[in-house]
Amino acid sequence: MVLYNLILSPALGFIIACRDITFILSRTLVICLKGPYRIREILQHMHSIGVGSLPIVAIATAFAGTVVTSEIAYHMDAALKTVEMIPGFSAQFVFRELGIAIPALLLVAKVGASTTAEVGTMKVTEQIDALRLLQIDPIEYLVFPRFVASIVMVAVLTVISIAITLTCAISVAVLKYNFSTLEYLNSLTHFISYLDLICAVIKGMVFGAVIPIISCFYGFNCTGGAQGVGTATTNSVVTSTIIVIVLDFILTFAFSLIL
Amino acid sequence: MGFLKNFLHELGGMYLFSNEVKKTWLCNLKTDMPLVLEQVSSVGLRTLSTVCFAGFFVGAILVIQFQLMLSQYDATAFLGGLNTSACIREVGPLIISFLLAGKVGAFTAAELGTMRVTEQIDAIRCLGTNPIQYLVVPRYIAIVLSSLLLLVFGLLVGIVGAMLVAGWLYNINSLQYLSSVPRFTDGWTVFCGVFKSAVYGIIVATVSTYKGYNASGGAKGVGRAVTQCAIYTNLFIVFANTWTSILLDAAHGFFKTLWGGQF
Amino acid sequence: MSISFESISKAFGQKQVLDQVSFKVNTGEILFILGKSGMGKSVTLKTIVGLLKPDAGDVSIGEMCVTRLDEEGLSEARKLCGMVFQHPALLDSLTVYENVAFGLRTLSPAQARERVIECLKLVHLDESCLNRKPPEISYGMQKRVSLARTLAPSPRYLLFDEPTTGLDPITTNAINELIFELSRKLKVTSVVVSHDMGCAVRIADRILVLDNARILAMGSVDEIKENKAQLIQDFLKEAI
Repeated sequence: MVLYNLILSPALGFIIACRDITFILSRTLVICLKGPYRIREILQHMHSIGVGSLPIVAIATAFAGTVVTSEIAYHMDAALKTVEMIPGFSAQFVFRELGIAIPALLLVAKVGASTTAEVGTMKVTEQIDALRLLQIDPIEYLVFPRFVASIVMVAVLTVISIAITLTCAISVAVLKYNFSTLEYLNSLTHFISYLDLICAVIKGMVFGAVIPIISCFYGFNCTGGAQGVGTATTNSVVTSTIIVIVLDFILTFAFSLIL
Repeated sequence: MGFLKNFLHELGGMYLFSNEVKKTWLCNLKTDMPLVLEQVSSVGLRTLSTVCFAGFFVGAILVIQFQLMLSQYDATAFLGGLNTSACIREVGPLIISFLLAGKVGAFTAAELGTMRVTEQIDAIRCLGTNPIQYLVVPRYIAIVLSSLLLLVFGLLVGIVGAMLVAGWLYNINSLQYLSSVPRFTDGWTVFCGVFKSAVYGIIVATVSTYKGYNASGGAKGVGRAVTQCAIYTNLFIVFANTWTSILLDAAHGFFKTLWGGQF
Repeated sequence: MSISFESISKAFGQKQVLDQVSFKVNTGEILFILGKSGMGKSVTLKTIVGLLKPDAGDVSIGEMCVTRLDEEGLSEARKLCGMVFQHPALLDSLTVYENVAFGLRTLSPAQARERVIECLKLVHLDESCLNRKPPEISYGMQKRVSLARTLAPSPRYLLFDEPTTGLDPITTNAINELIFELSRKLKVTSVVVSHDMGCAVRIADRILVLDNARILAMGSVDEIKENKAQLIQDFLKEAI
């Protein structure tokens, strides 16, 4: 009994969850290839993810970028007694980690939570069953548009947030450590290549792909009224955050071999 | 403009709510110790494994990134120190508290929100108990305390994890890794990490209990409360990151001038 | 000790839910408040017990003026009133026993246990459900446990918010009989909010009909039956 409760049951649950998520993902990819494409829904979701999240992502990355850059610069200065590394170092950190991780985690909260809440409420109020009876595939109607919109928009927001964070990093370097903007931009060309930008966009797209799949999975499996919706949304945010962190690690490691 | 107005409205509401919680707590200090302890243990147990997991990966990611950057300057000797310092001071509290915002914050918002929309909170009021005293205060205290403990634990796991990854991927042995640590970290660094953890814990507690307690509108309302809790917690943590860093730097400078070399 | 509702007005945004509504509930009687959905019935109940504050007017329970009291004073007032909500509103993390004993903090454990069993008996439940949690029992049982919880502190007034909505006819009858039995046995004053005219006709002493934020009619069951207003006639048709 103990064995069942402690190990077998969660393990079984995990396997079933993997199976369901794989199913949703594969079905979504099939729709990518064959359609129907529901352009209007895709554009709607792109608007809500892109325009809806832009203020939050912009402000948050500006704040985070300023602070983290100045902290790193402080270390360079205080511990290594050298400031020449600051532009290159901070630019690289922004491109490779900061400008990507912060918007991704914010979007997990905003997009992931609201998607699960929405889909979960639909499940609990039997709207998903209604869709099925109307011969509409819930994955085609709910998951696919969000999938496409999220991949595109998270990549776009990643690029925007890199730009904003970079601006903040430059401000810190210029205002606190007396670099000139030209100096900074020069070192940028030395330390950053197109490859960095491509890797950043790829990371953004991967995170953007993961969020709607996981959050819709939790939404579809939501049971039990108000309490169920709350539980599903919580679990969705937690799982998505963990998966984003793990994927970040894997991709960082993979890209470190190329760069 | 609407966004700003909403934001300020929320901020004001949270401020008033946390005042109410504080007032209720101070008036009823002794009565609810068992409730608080129960909440602390349930929050702690629920989140420990997740925090360790996240801490390990955060440390690992930073090791890889820093190794990449430092190797360009041939400064890899400093990997241990730089990574540990960045982890404790900045990235560690930030990422781990994002996770806490989800696991603990969203969970509390969902729990309180469900109780609100199914009229359990009204029922508690009708039975002569103050729901803020019975429900909110124990959870609030539990979240702040556990956040502090969990974040510290997560940072430790992050540091150890980073060390292991450095050894595994880049063949840097542990002693070599740890040798540069004292150069970059000191008592003040640790204090910064702990202080930030406490502040983030307070943010998670305030936003999640506020959003949950004020949910309305059935299942949809609960979903909305949890979503907004997740968003606002993350946003406020990022803001707090900036303000605490500025504050701590200023304080550091202040103490340095007062006490000279010690700092 | 009666409840008196004096010129109460309440609006939510643009919507006027109660407009200068006045009535009195006499000691020991069962008053049914009827009306279509969304006509301010739940708001009336919540105003009596201080969960909502009216925009104008006064509510008094016995000698206490509820609208003038602060939260501490309301605590005292609520000890006299018991409210049964539309949904069972049981605390999910507590057992049935702990739920029913929730309002009995001032009693010793032995006394509390006695009282809990007594109240469960009143609602025709036995001790077997004491250690179960709300999700483990049926909806009908949850409603009865919720009633037992309200009865435990021996209130002088019972307020019911749509007690039989969403229940099957058999359970509906059982709950109605329970309300009648309790009112007569325990000599409590009951205010029942409902849109079930059938219940009202069977067990009410007086009926009050709300329409468009005002009182359309108030009186004994026979007086209401004589009333010619369209709404009331429609309600009565459904009852029969």
